[in-house]
Order: sequence, then C-alpha cells, then structure tokens
Amino acid sequence: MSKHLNDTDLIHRYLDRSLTDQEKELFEARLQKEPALKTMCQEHQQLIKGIKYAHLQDKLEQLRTLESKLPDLAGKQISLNQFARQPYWKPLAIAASITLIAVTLVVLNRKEDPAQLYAKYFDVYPNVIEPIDRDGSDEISKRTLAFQAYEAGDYQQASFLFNELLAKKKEPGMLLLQGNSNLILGNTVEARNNFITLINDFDKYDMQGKWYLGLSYLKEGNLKSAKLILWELSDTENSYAKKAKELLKEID
Amino acid sequence: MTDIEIINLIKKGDPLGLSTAYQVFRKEFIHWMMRFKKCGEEDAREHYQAAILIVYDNVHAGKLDNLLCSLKTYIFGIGKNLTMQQYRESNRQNTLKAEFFVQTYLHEEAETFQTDANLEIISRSFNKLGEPCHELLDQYYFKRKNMIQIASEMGYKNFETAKNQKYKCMERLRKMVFEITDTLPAIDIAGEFGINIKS
Repeated sequence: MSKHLNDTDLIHRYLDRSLTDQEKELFEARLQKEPALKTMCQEHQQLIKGIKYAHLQDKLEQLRTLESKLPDLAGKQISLNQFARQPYWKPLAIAASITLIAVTLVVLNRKEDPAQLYAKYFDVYPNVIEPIDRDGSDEISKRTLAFQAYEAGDYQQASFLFNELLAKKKEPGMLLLQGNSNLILGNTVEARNNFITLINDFDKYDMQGKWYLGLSYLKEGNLKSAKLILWELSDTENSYAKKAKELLKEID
Repeated sequence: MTDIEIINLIKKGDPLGLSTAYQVFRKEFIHWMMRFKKCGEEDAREHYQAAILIVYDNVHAGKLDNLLCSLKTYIFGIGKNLTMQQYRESNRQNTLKAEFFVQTYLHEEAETFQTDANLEIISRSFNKLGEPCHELLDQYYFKRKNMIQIASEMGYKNFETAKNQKYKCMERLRKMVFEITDTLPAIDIAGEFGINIKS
C-alpha cells in the first residue's frame, strides 16, 4: 500500500477511534512531527463536521417549515389575578368543564375502525413515474419489467423487482410505488420504511409520501401517529391537504 | 407519546419523531426562554430549534439510550447551555441564529484541533456529491451505523468494499471542497455572523 493510502487509512481509523492504544500513540507522535499529516487529519475532521452540519441544516429547514405552519404562540400571558378579576369567568369555567367531560365521554365511547377508514381512503398510486412505452420492442430491462408488473397489478413481482433496483440506487418515484406495493401485499412495516426514506431523502413526492405514511399508520391501527402526520399534511396547500382534512374529520 | 417512543422514532429516522418532539415542548420552552433570557420570541425560537437539533444529533449518537431524566429536562438543559454560549461569544443585543449554535456545538463535540472551519462550503459540496456517496457518508458519520450494517443495507459485497467506497467518497468530497477553496479557510465564527466580540 502506498504511503499516502496508508496515511489515509490511519487517519480514517484514528478519527473513527478504531486504532489500538499503541497505534494511536505512534500516530499522535507522528502528528506532532509531520505538519502535512496533521493538516490532512484536520481537513478530514472538518469534512466530517461538514457532513454532520449538512444533515442538521436539512433538519433545521424542516423545523422552520413546520414552525411556519404551527399556530402563533399565545401573546402576553395574563396572570392568575387578572383572570380571577373577570366577572363572568366562573359560569364560563363551569360550562367549559361540563363540555369537556361530555366530549371526553363521547371520545372514549366512540368506535374507531381504522381498517375501514384505510380501505375507504387507500387508492393505489398510478404509475405516472415511468409510463410504459409499448413500442413492441423485444428488449425489456428489469426496470421496465418492474413498472409493467406494477401497472398490471402484479404487486408481488413489482415489489421483488423494485427491491433489487432500489438496492442499487434509491429513487423517489420507485420508493413511492414500492411502498404502495408493500401496502397492498400487507407488508406494512416495509411500506412505512419506504415512505420514511422517501420523505427523509428526497423532495420529490414528499406530499404523496406523507399521505401514504399516514395511511400506513392507519392500517396498523396507530391512530395517534396517523393523525399527527395527517395534521401536518392538512396544513399544506395541495390536493393532499383536502384529503387529509377529510380523513382527520372521520377519525375524530 | 412517551419520551422513549419519541426517541425511538428519531433513531429509526421516522420524521414523526422530530416533528413530535418539536411540537410537544415548543410553547413551554419558548415562553421559558423568553423569561429566562429576557429576549423576544424570535430569539427564543432560534434557541429552541438549535436545542432540538442538538438533541436529535445526540439521539443518533446514542447519548439518550440510558436517559436518566425526562426528555423535557434534557432539552431545557441544552437550552440553558446555549444561553451561556451566547453570553460568552457575543453582544447580547444580537439575535443569534440556530445555525450559529449548531456550528459551535459541532466544533465542541469533535474536540477539534482548531475551532474554525467553513462548514457552509463543506455542507454545500456534500449536498452536491450525489449517490451513493451522499447516503453512505450520511449513514456512517451522522447516523453512526457501522460498515457492516451499511454494506448490508446498501447492497455492497462486503464490509471491505463498503469501506473502500467510503474512502473514495471522502476523497471526492475533499477534492470538491478544494476546488472552492485552496485550503479550508479559518473563518472566525463570530465574524461570519456579524457579531462583535467584547475584548
């Protein structure tokens, strides 16, 4: 191994903390004596920080987007004394308590059927990702076979082929259709992971990913999580927002 | 949702985890920060966003695996530390952005030789890297997965192949950054954010 490659390997292992104690001691001694090696090591360390920063920046943007959709925080908070001085607070407080008890009783007694709701709202996402060009050509790639199978409703075959293709390269459209295939096949956990990867790693089909993720939670009977993601979606301005609002009303 | 459920969701990469954590503690934290620091809502919000991101990173680093306090206490504790940072570094009248706190946190966390680095340039270059490098490096350095896991999940032949790919990706990133700058410049963090450091 050339010296440069060896040093690169040592730097990686040093920063990953996988050198033995003896190797570490020798390496640190070299860092003191070899400015070029020290510079290489510092650069590598900065690159690692930059990679982490890129990930956190992306999350910060998501938080800021979420913040812009949340209700304003209450303005100046009134003190308990100010609240108590209002002449009409007592009857209002009593009325509010009665309403709260009544609503709680209704909520506790309602029968939720997440499976029925899921069945009502789930529509398989059409293949608008890669429409099949039926030109009669004999040569068909694995990719074409996968989309063909999906269009034909052979979700087992489609899922198998999408899996192989996604293992080589993740694509947003393919993740969306793979998630749909998994939902239809009853592989809800895999479907959920497909949508989560889609939402986390890509901007394209973000709304669709969230909608189907919400449906995945609904299918699992996880109403709390379904509501949270649908609530987030309902606050956007697109066709999925309307669907999310309708579904939230039915859940509630 | 319990603290452990939120932490587990974040660890799994479910966007619901971060989103829930953010919404659950938001109002209380921001109001508390406004009283504690005697600052406006915008300032408090920047602190909160930075605190949530630091918690998010700590979850992935495994630091919350055996959390002895509540998640709320943990987040508020980080918030308090951030205010100390600001008092050390800046003119108190300025609103520091969440980016400042995150960059400072990364410098401290890495026990670096030097405290200055152009993280913005590296971050931009990293986002231009393309696949599989972007995902591989993100999985390894941010999500702290080991090379065996990454090899399995990303479909590499074995651990060695994945490790070699990682080396190549880091070298590509290093070259990209060097195309922008001859050396990684030492940039004064305070200066970059227009802050006057008290002498």
